[in-house]
Amino acid sequence: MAVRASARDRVAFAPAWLAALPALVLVCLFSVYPVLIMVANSLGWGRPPADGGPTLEHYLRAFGSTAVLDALINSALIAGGAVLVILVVAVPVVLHQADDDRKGRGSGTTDALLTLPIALPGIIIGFFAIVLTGRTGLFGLAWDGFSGLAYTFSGLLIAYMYFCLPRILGPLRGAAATLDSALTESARTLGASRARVFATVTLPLLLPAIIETGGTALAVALGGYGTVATLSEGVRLLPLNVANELTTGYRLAASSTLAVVLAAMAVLALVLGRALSALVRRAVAS
Amino acid sequence: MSRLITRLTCLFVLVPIIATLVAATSVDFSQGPWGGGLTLDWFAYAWPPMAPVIGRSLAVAALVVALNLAVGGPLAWWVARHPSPLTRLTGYLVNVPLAVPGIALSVALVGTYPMLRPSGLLLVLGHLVFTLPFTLAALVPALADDELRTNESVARSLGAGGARVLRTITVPACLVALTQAVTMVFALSFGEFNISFFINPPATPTAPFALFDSYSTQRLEPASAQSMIFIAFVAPVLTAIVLARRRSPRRTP
Amino acid sequence: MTTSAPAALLGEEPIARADGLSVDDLTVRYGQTTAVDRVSLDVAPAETVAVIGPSGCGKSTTLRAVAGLVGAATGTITLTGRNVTTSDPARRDIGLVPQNYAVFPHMSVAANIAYGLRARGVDTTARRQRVRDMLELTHLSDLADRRPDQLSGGQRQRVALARALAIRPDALLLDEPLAALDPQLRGGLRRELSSMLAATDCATLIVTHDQREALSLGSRIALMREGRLVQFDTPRRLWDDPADAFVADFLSGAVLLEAERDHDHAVALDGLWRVPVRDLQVRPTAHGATRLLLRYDSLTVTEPHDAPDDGSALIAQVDHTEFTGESLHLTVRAGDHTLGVRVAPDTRVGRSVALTVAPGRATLLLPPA
Repeated sequence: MAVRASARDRVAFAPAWLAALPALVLVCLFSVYPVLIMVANSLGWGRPPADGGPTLEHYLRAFGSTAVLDALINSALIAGGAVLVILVVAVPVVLHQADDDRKGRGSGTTDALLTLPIALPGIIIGFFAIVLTGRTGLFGLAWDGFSGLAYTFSGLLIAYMYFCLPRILGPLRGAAATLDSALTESARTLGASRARVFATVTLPLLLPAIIETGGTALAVALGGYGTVATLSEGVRLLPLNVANELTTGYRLAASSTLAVVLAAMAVLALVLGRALSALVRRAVAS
Repeated sequence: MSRLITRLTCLFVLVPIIATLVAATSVDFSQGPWGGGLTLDWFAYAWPPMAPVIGRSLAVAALVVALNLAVGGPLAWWVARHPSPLTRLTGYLVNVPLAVPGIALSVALVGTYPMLRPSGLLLVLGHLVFTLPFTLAALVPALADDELRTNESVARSLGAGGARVLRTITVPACLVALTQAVTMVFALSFGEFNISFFINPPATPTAPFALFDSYSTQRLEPASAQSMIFIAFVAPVLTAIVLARRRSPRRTP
Repeated sequence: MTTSAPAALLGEEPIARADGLSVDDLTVRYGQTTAVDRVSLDVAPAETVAVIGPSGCGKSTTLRAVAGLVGAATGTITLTGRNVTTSDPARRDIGLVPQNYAVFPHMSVAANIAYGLRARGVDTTARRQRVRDMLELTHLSDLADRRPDQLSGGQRQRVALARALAIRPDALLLDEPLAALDPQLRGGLRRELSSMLAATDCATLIVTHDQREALSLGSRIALMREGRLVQFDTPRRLWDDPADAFVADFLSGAVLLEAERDHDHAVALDGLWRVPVRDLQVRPTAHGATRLLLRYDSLTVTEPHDAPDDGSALIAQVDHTEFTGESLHLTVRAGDHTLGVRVAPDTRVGRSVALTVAPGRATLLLPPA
């Protein structure tokens, strides 16, 4: 009925895709095309005379530099570590929230608090690290070991955990809400302990969502620039190098190359997350 | 056990914010919390330079929201109502800014359209393509809803024209999704830093850049005060997000 | 055996019933609302008790309390002599078949059935044998390796039943076992379920909102309303001697009128209707009040001016007529009383009617003198 009506609209009035056209033009012009140009710049296809023609020279130079490689490895370790820790923490939290929601006693304050970091730019999260564990940070008063922690690997890891938290809790919460409570209840009445129910019923059913969310969050964390920009005097991450190539002497090709590497890592995390999740979902549920 | 972890997680979120508030109200934070006494002077000192920046950010965010509704709304409608390989491809294209890190996109944008940067046009359009995926994610499921489509057919069979159906049936039914999209887009644009890094007009920075500048040039106390002012502006928006989510119909299995 | 406390009535201590399931004085609260209010019932081993009532009457909550999924505010739940009121659900030895069956979607049929046995650490040989037996009992042997999403609703129900029975539970709980199935299939599956239940020897509690299911599956029926147990007895006695008008209406669509015996007449509706006792079946009632029980075939309709004027015909205004296939449902008004009666489907009905009792078709329930 609705389909027929819209089919008739299509005949009588302007074609439906016309409605999508402005957005599509803008997306192609300001998102797809610049990314293609960025890739071209990194391959030496940029505007002459700056670029002299197709070359892999920029990539060879990037991967030959220890500074870039260090930043790349740090980026992977910190983003990966933060996502892993938050996934472990998030599972009990979302299960608890789903339980509360089912019983109709969900707390709005908890909900708001756990969503809050999504509205905070990365730079503020970096600043939080300075306030708590900077050289004159609050925690440093309690124990000297906390002073300057913000600029170390562990400090950055904790800051990125803060950054990842809402990006993992949100999607995972949706997945936890669709878990049927009758499944765990049945497992309990069959004699399984809480731990056993978690390991044999809850976790296998939640696993595809955990993997997919992890992949997406990893992609976002890899690209997170603001946090490390605020803490830039400490451990260096790849996004910092991307920016540096432009801010210290306008080296567009070198910057584009690192941006492509960073984007490739993020896309890889995203695609791997989706693919693994689909694989696990099929193994678990079909 | 899980209750304890939830509490601790809330604490993890809350502690830095409280610490920043303490720093913003301390005369000398390096002497410890409220070292040298309690003061609101840092807020008074931080606000005047912050006010025009906040105003500019609010204007950019409002413009980005309006553009999202104007171009994202029809796009969401088309994707929801005419599923085809073409709409799926569109989905991938729109989601490019989710996959490509913001700083990379910023490099790409400034490399392609340097001439649009000084006017701020590039900033607004950059924010638009960055927030469009969130608008689509909120609106497409709401617009694809079968019950809504049935209701629209009923309204049309009762003699309502397209505009009337949109105004009286479609928009009210999507109100929760719309609120969610608007608040999310607003919050994202207001706090956007990564994409903005190279496309932000240098002479007229937005709020995150003012903060970033203070972080590297100012003392901890006024920087904390500025951060708290910023948080005070996003907090209501965030409350709206949570309220919208709570009002959305819950699927009970 | 009238209402809430059969145990007390028989002067029997709950602990004395060593076997089966007994629920004594159970109250369950959700916050301020009392979902189950001092309910007592018992199920003997190998017996099936059906708990029935309109939605929201507390029947499912009663079942969840027995399973240990909601806590009891007061009362005790005893299972084969053990007080399990506060036991962990994993330690109650209860087989639960939830309304949507809750078959684990990520496990094969056989793995679903083996779940409780694995959790109990039953050794492999015994476990395989038990799973085979259960597959056979529920006619699922050919589907042992299937995944749940390849099963029909009826097959899922059998998987859930086999899974619950595999642990040799002391009590079996079924929550609306047929509600999730197509109405056309329910009759056949009900008979199938009934024969599978007959093959088990555990106390079985079935929750349902469907009268036919309750009457055919339960050897006794507990009828609940607004959290309270209204009547708990055999299907036959609920049918013949309902505790109140609600029971009569809910179970069989019958009308139960308060009446008084006046020599040769039963007087109902404040004296508007005087039915000669010779036209009625007279039966003793356990519920202490004289009442007139009218079923769909109890009344005949005549034109008001043809009716006898000795008061044996009830003259009433017809407010509404509804054809339901096997009968005609009339909503009639007489004096201050409005009642719904069912009459033969071919009856001609005008604006007002005279209702008379068909001789021998209505029942006068009299308390023993």
